[in-house]
Amino acid sequence: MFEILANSGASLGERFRGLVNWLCAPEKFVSLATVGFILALVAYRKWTKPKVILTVTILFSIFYFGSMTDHNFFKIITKPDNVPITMLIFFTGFVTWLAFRQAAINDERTERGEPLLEAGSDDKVLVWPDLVYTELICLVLCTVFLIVWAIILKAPLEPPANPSVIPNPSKAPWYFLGLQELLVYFDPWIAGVLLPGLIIFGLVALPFIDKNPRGNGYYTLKERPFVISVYMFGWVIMWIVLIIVGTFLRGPNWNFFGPYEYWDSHRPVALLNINVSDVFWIVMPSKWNLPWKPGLPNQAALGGLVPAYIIREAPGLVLLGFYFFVMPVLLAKTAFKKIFSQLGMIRYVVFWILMSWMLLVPIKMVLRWLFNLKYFLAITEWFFNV
Amino acid sequence: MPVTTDTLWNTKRLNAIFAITALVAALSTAWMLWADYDRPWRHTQLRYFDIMAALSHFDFLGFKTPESKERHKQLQDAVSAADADLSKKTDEEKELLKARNLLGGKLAAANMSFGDLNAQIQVTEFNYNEYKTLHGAENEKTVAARKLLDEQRAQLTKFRTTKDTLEDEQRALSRKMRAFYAKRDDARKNLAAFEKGMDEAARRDKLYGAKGGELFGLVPVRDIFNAPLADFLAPRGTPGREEIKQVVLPDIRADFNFAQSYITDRCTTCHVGIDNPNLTREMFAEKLQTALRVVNEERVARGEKPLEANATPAADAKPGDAAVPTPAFADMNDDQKDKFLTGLTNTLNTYLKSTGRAPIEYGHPLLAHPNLDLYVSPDSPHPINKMGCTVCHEGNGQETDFVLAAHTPHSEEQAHEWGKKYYVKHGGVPEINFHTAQEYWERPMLLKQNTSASCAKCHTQTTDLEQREGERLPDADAIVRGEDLYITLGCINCHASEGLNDSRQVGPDLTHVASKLTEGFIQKWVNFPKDYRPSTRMPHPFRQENNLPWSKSFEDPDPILRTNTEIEAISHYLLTFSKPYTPVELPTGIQGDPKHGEELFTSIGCLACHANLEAKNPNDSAGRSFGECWIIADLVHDGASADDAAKRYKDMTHNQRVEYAVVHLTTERRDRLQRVADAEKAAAEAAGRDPDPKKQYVPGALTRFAPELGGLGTKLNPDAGNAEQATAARRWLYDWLREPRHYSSYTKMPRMFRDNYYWQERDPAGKLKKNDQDMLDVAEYLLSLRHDSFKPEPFPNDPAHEAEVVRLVRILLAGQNTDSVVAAIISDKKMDPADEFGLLTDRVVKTVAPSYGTGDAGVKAVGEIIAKQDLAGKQKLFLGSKMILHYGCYACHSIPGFEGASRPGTELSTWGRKLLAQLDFAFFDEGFAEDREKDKKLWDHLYPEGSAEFEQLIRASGGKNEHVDVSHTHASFAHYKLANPRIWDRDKLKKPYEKLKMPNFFLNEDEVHSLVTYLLSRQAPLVRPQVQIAYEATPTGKLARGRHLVAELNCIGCHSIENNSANVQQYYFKPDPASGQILFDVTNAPPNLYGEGAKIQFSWLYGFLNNVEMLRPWLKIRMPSFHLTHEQTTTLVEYFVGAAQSQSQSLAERLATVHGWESKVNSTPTWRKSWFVDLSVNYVADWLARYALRQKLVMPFDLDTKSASNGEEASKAIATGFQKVVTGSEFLQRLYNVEYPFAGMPHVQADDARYDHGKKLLLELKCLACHVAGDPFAEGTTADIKAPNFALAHRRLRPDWVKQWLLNPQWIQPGTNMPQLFADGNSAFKDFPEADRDKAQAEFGQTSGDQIQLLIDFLFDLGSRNATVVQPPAPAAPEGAKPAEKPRSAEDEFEDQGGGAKPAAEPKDDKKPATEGKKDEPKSGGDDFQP
Repeated sequence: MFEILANSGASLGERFRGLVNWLCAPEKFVSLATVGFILALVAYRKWTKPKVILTVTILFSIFYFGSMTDHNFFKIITKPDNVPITMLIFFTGFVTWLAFRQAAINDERTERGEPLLEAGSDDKVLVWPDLVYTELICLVLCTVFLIVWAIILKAPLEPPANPSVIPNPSKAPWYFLGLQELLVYFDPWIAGVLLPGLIIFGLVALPFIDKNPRGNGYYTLKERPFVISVYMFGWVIMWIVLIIVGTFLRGPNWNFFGPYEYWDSHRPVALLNINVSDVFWIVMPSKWNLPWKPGLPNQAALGGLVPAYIIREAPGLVLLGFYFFVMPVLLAKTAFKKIFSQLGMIRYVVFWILMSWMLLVPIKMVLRWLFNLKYFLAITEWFFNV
Repeated sequence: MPVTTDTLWNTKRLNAIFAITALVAALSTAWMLWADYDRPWRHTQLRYFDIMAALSHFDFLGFKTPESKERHKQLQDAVSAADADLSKKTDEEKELLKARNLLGGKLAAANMSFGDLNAQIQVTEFNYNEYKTLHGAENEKTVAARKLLDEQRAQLTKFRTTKDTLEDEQRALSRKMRAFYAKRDDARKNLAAFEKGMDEAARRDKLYGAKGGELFGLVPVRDIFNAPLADFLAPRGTPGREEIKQVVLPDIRADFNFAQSYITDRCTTCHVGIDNPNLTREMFAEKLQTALRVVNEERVARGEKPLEANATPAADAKPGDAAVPTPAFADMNDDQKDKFLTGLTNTLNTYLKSTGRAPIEYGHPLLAHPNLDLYVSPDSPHPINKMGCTVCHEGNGQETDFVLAAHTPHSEEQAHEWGKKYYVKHGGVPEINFHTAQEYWERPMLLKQNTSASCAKCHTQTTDLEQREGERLPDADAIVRGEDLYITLGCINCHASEGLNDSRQVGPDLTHVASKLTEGFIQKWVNFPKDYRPSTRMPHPFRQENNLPWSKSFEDPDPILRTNTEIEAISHYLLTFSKPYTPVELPTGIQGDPKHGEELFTSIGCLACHANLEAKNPNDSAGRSFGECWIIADLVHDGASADDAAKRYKDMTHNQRVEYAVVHLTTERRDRLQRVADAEKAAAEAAGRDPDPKKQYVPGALTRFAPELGGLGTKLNPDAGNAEQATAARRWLYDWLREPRHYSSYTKMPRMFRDNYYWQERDPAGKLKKNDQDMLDVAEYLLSLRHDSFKPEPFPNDPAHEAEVVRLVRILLAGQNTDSVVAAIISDKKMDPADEFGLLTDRVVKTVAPSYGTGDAGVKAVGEIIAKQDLAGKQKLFLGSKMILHYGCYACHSIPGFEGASRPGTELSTWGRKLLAQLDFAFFDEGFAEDREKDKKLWDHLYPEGSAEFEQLIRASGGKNEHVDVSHTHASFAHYKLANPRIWDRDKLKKPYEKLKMPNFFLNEDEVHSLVTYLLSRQAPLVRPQVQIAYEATPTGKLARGRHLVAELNCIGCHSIENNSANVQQYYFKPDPASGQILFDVTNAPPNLYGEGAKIQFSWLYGFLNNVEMLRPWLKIRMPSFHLTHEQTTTLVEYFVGAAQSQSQSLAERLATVHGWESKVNSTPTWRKSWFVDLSVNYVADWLARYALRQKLVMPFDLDTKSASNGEEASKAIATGFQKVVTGSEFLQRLYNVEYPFAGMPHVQADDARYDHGKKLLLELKCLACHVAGDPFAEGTTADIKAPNFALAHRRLRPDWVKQWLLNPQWIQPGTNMPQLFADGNSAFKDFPEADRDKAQAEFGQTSGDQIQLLIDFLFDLGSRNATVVQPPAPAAPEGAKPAEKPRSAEDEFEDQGGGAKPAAEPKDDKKPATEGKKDEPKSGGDDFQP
C-alpha cells in the first residue's frame, strides 16, 4: 500500500486510483466490507443520524460518480446491463439506513421509556381508496419508469451466439452474480444446487426456527442483535457485496481487476490451488519436518476395506466432520447454550445446518484468497468435492 | 361498530396525484412512440424524396423551355404536315380504302365458304368412318359418303386457293397502305412519345408536389401517410413512403454458429438511391446543370436575373453554360466533385425555396453505387436483389442505425467526425461507439481498399478476377495481387492456406551452398539482406525492432551479440552440411568477353526476369545505363531540372539507386502510367490534338521477379584479387547458365543457351563453341559487376560469441531439461560409453541424417562430417539447426536436414474468421490509449522515432515511417503486423525465443493492403455453391490455373497473352523515323500470344517448351527452355485454349445481342434505328468498340463522333466504323472458337500433282521473299528472313487458323508484316491486269477459298516431305504481281510502323528430321549434363 502511495512518478489521481485498486483486491474488499458491516451494527445509532448519513452519501456519491472520469470505471457503469447495480447500491443503502434509523430511534425511545414510533397507529385501512388506489398509482409510475428505462437504455448489441465461444467475461444476469461468484469456490453441485436450495429452504424455515415475537411490527436492533446480524450478514455481505464484486471487480477470464484497471484479456494470473490433502500430506511434512513422508497415500488400507482416497482425504474429513458435527455440540455447550435451550434439539440441528453452510462460504473464500485452498475434501473419484 | 369512513389518504390529493401520474404515463407513452418513430433513416429517406421531387420538377420544367415547346410544336407540325400531305392525295387514299373494303368483303366471303365447307367435311368424314365400320367398305352408304367426301375436298382446295390469293392481295395492300400512311404514323408516334414523357413528368411532379403531393389541395399527402402510427395508410412501395427497405438473400448465408440462415440486408433503407443511375455524381451533375439552364431560361424569359452557381472548385468548370458536364468535372477528384455539386445544389435551392419546395441536400448515403455496371443494378453481374450488400462490404446488414450497422471509419479523424454525427447519446454518453461495435460485431464493414476480400467468396480461385473479357478489373486488384504476393513472397511457405497447396519454395536451394558462397557473404547477407541487394524479396529476421540494442532487457541483455551468434551458427550449419557439388569444367581455349556478355544480357531476354540498373541501355543514344536513364527521367518528371536530376543521380550510391528504383520504378506504377498514357493518346487522337506530354510519361520498371544482378561479382567472388576464387565463381556461373537445375533442384530459371539457336551455323561443333562462348561472355560480364563497398566478411573471432552460443543453447534446452542434463548435452557427454555419439552430436545427427541417406548410411555420413568439429563447432551446429528451425529458414530454402519439416507458421486458412479476442494488440490495445499518449515518440509511428537505430528499418521501408492508428479490427491488426512484424512486441519484456519472429518484408503500402485483403478473404465463404463461380464447367477454370502458371514461370514477362503488360516490352521502344514518336517495336519484341490456342497444334507445344527450337531467326530475344512437367504443359495448352474460347464466347454473346436487335428492327435503318445508338444495347456497343480498338480492328477516328454536331451526323459518322467492328468481331469469334482436345487434326497428305500445283502458286505469290521453306541454307533462299519457316507449319499450326490468317492477318495480329493476299476475301489476283487475272484464276482456282486450300495443301505437305523450296531467280516478274507491295489498307498504315512479322510457319534446324514433336525428347545435343 505504501508503495502505491509513495510511487513518486505518479500523479495524485494515479496514486488514488492505485490505492483504490489495491483496496479492491477481493480479500481486502470483502474484509473491509465485513468490518464496515460490523461497525455499522455496533455504531448504528451514530451513523444513522441524518447529518452523518447525508455526509457519507455525498462523499460516496462524489467518489462513485467522480470515478466516472476514469475510462475503465466509466465503461463498467455505463454498460446498460450494469445500470441496475448503481440503483441497487443506492437503494439498498437507503432501505438499510431507513431500517437502522428506525431501529435506532425505537431503541432510544424504549431506553427512555417512551412509546415506539409504530405504537398507536391503526393497522387497518380501507381497500378503496387507500389500498387499490395507491397500488394503481404505483403501477402507473412503475410503467412509466420501465418505459423511460427502455427508451434510454437499449438492449446492448451482442454478436450472434456461438456455442463454442463464450463471451469474455461471461457474466450471469446481475442478480445472479453472487451465485456465480460462489462457483469460483465450490463445485457446481454445491454452488448451483445446494446453496441456492438452502437459501430458499432457510428463508422458508426461518419463522419456524425463530419464534421470538420481539421485533414484530416495529424496528429494533437492540432486542434482536444476533438474528438481525446473521440475517444482514447473509443478505448484505453474501449477496449484495458479491454482486458488486461480480460487477466491478470480475473481468475477462473471471480474473480480479481493480475498478480502474483496464480489462486486459491477455493478463495472466497465477492460480495454483491446492487441496487440504496436499497441505497435509505434502506441504506440512516437507516444510516442518513432520514424521510422515511427503506424498499422497495411494494404497488402500485394511485389506481394501478403506480405499486409498479415504485415507488421502482423511484430514479434510476430520476437518469437515469437526465443523459440521463436533462444532455444534461444542457451541451448544458454550456460546450457543442459550440458543440451544430455546430451540430444542431438532430446531437447533436445522439452525446449524443453515448456519454452517452460510459460514462455510466466507471461510472458503478467505482460505482461497489467502492460501489458494481448492478443496477441503477432494474425492474426485466420486465427483465429491467440498 | 360503525364503518369508518375516514380514509388513510386524502382522496382529493390522491386524485390529483393520479391525474399527474396518468399524464406522465401518457407523455412517456408518446415519447416511446416518437422514439420508435424518429429513426435516423427517416431523415435520410426524406432527403432522398426531396431530391426525387426536385428532379421530377426539373424534368417537368424541361418540358416547358422554349426549346421543348419548339420541339413539341415541330412534332405537332409534322403531324399536321403529314395530314396535309395526305389530304392532297385524297383520291389515292379513297382508292386504297375502296380497294381495302372490296378486298375485305371478298375475303370475308371466301373465308365463310371455306369455313362452312370445312365444317361439312368434318361431318362427312365422321359419317364415312362410321359407315365403313358399321356396314363395310362396299356398302352403298359408305361409297356415297366417300364420293361426297372426295367432292367436298376437291371443292375445299379451290376455296383455299381463292382465300390464299385474296390474303396475299390483302397483305400487299396493307404494305401499300402502311407506306402511304408511314409519314403520318411516324409523326404521330413521335408526338405521342414526346407527350407521354411530358405527361409523365407532370404526373411525377404532381405526385411529389411542392410538399410531397397534396390531398384536396389542403394537406400534403406524404406528411399524412408518413405520420407516426399512420404507416398502414399507404401500401409498401408507394412513392414518398418512408419505410424500411430490405433485400432477402437466400443464397447469401449468415453464420449463426449453430445454424446457417439467409441474409437480410437493410442497407438500402438509408442508401436508398444506391441503384438510381441519376444519382451517380456524374449523372447528378448533368441533371443539375440542365436544371440550372432550364431555370435560368425561365427567369430570363420573365426578365429576372439568372442564378449563378456560388461555388466552383475548378476555375474552368462553369456550371450552367453547358448541358453536359464540362470535361473538367470528369477530371475532378471526389472531393472537388462534391464541392462542385454542393455549389450547384445551393444555387438551385434558392430557386426551390422560392417556389415553396423543399431544398435538396445531396450527399454520401444518397450517392448511387459508383460502379453500377458491375454491381447493384439488375443487369449487372452482381445484382443487389441476388447478392445484397454485406456479402461484399460486411457489416451488420440488419441494422438501420449508422453505428450499429458496423460502419468502419478509416481513420481516427473520421471516427471522431462520425462519432459527433452519428452516436446516439443520452446525457452525453454514447449508447454505443465504433469501438464497441467493432468488438461485438466480428465482421465490421471492410474499408474500401480491402473490400475485394469478399470477391473470394464466390471467385474462390481469384485469378479469374485478373481480367474479365480482356479488361482489367481494378476493383479486384487487391485480392488478386494479395494472393499473388502470398505465393511469390513465400508467405505460403510458412503459413498454409487452403486452396494453395502445391507451392514451390521461393528461396534458392541451399543444398550445395558452400560451393557458391563464402561464409562472409552468408553472414552479411543473413544479417541484413538489403545491405547487399536493396531490391531483394528476402525478408529480414534480424536487426528488427525487437532484436536491436534498443530492446535489451535482463531477459535479453545484448540482442546484437545474440543475433550475431545466431547468424554465425546458421551459416556454420549451412556450410558444414552443404553437400558436395561439382560444376562442369570450363571449356578450354576460350575466354569470356564481358562487353559481348553485356550485349547478350540486354538483348537475349535476361531482362524479363532480372534487372541490372548498371547495364548499358542499348536504346540510349548517350550510352547511359538503365538506372541512369530511368532515375533521371523519373526525377525530371517529378519536377527536377535535367542538370539537377543528373547530379542527384550521380550523388547516389549504388544501393540508393536501387532503393530509389524499388520505391518509384515499380511494375505497378509503370502499368498504371502506361494506362494513363494510352488513354491520353487515344483521347488526343480522337480529339485531333497532341497528347499532353506530362501524361505520356511511362517510367521504367525494375522487375523483382528474379534478383537484380548488380554486384553479382562481389557475391560470387568477394576477394577481388583471388584468382582461385574467381575461377571457381566463373565455373559455377557457367554451369548455372548451362543448366540451372544442375545446381538447384527446383529453380524456375530456364535454360537460355541452347545450341539450336545457332541454326545458321552449318557446323555442329561451331554451334556448340559459339554457345560456350556466349555463356562465358555472360558469366564474365556478370562477374565484372561489383560493388565492393559491400564487404562480405565474416564476424571477427570473438570469444564472447562462444560463450553466447553456450548461453543460447542453455536457454533452448532449459525448458525441457534439468540443469545437469543441460550441462551434459552442452559438453556433448556420452550417457553411456558405448554410445556412438555424445548427447549434442546425437541431436544434430538425428536432424540431418535422413538427408544424407536412409538408415545407418545417413548416420554414418553425418557422423563423419561432425567428427571434424570441435566442441564449440558442435555447439554451433546445434544452435544453427535450432535457429533454422526457429526462424523458419527451411520453409523457403531447401536446407539439408529439414526436408520433411512442417511449415513453421500458423495456418491462415480461416484467419478472416479468427476471433478478434485472439489477436493480441499488446500495448496498442484500446485500453492503453492513455498510456500511449504519454510517449508519442515511442508509440505513434511504425518504428519508434528519434533514435538512429531505426534509420535502417525506415529506409528499407521506403523512407517513410507510417503513423500508427490501430483500430480494433482484423484489417488493422494484419496491416501493422505486415508493415512491421515485430510491432506487437514494443515495450514488452520477453525472453529471446518468445519474441515475435516473423521476418520483415519491408512491404510498401499497396502490398500491405493487398496482403491484408487476401488474409481477410480467408474464411468460410458463406454463400451457396450456386452463386460461386463454376470453374470446372467453363473455360474460367482453365484460365485461372493457367494464369497462375504463366505468372509463376513469368511467361508474361515477355509475352502478352491476355492483354497483360509484359515487363520486357519496355525495352522494345524505338523512335519512329517518320514521326519522331517513340513507338513500340513490334518486329523485335517477343511475339504476343493472343488467340494462341486457336493457332497451334497442341501436341507441338509439349516438345517445344522443354526444348525450344528456333522460330524467328531475326529476333535477338530468345525463348528459353523450361523444365515443365506434363501436367504443367497441359495446363498451358488448356489455358491458351480457354483464353481463345472465352474470347470467342464473350464475342458471341455480344454479337447475338446485335443480331437479335437487327432482326427485330428490320425496317429501314435510319439513324435512330442503328443498334449502336440504341440505349438498350448501348453497353454492348461500348464493349465491342473497346474490344475492336484494342484488337485494332478499327482506329479511334472510326468511332469518333466529336466532329458531328448532332446525333444523326454522329450516327452516320460511325456507321462504317461499327460495320467494321461487327465484321471483325465475327471473324475473330469464329477464329477463336476452337475445340479442345480434338482440335487441329493434321492435314491429309496431298498427291504430287497437287503439291507441285501449290508450289507454283506459292512462287507466284512471292511468299519466299520473306519466308523460308525447308533448308535455310539452300541456294536462293532469301537473305533477309523476316518470317518463319514453312517447314514447321504441318506440325505447329492448325490449318483452320492458317486459312483465316491468309484471309486477314491484320485482324489476327495487328501490325504484322504479312500482307493481306486475299483482300476482303477476293481472289489473290483481283488487281492483276484482266488477262493475267483470268489466266491465273483459271490455273489456281477462281475464288480465294480454292486458292487458299491449294496453298494449305502445299504448306502442310512441305514439312512432311522434308523438302526445300526456293524462289527461282525472276527474269522479269510482272510489275503488278507483287502482292507484298500491294497498297495497304488504312489500318495497316496506322499501326505497322516498324513492320512486325507473325509467323505462318518457321525455319528450323537444318539437320533435324521433321518429326512430330514428342514431349521432352531432346532435339539435339546439349542435354548431356542434365542432372
